[in-house]
Amino acid sequence: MIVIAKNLRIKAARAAMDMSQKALAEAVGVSRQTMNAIEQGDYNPTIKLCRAICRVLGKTLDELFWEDDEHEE
Amino acid sequence: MKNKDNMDEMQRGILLRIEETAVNLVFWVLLAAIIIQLLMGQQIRYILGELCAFALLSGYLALSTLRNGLWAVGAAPDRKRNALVSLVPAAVIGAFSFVKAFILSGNGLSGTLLKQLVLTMAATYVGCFLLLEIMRAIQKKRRQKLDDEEE
Repeated sequence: MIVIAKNLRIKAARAAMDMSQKALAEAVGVSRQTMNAIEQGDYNPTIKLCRAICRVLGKTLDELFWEDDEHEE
Repeated sequence: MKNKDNMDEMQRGILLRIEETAVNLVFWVLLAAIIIQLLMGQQIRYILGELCAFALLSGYLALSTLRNGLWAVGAAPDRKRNALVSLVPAAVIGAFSFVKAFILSGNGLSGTLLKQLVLTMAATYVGCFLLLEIMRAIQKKRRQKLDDEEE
């Protein structure tokens, strides 16, 4: 089973671009509820959505979504 | 990421879970309604609508899962399990027939009726077990076909 931790890296990348959660959600075409759930670790997004987030924030998948083995059980 | 119905992937997932709960609810409530109505002495022709809806729902669920080579969540297809699971409908039919024949109709506990009850339960058990085994064979074949598809 995969336990998703809070994704603080998205929050940090967003803050670096002075982007609100709502703005990022609109840019990738999801609701703010969904973006919030991703950042809180309550929702595991599809690879398609991960890539869209990476494109908007100018980051790689590794930079935003890679997790250490300790988060996977 | 949003599609034409203005829903993103997480919202769609939430909606699917809601719909799954609704289908489960309809399935069990419909089954309970059919059993209760039959126990109350309602004739089959008056509950034909419920029976058709239940058969359609069950048939669709069974055919769709088999077509995709699936079985059940948290349970692998297994003969021993099928043998065990078949006891449930046999027990339900047994209890239903018992209540209907002895309690609601006020008949005494005669040997002939008891024999009929046991036979009904046994037939239900064998029927369910055979049906599950046929479904298991179809699922296995379908799973193999889907797994063997060329890349």
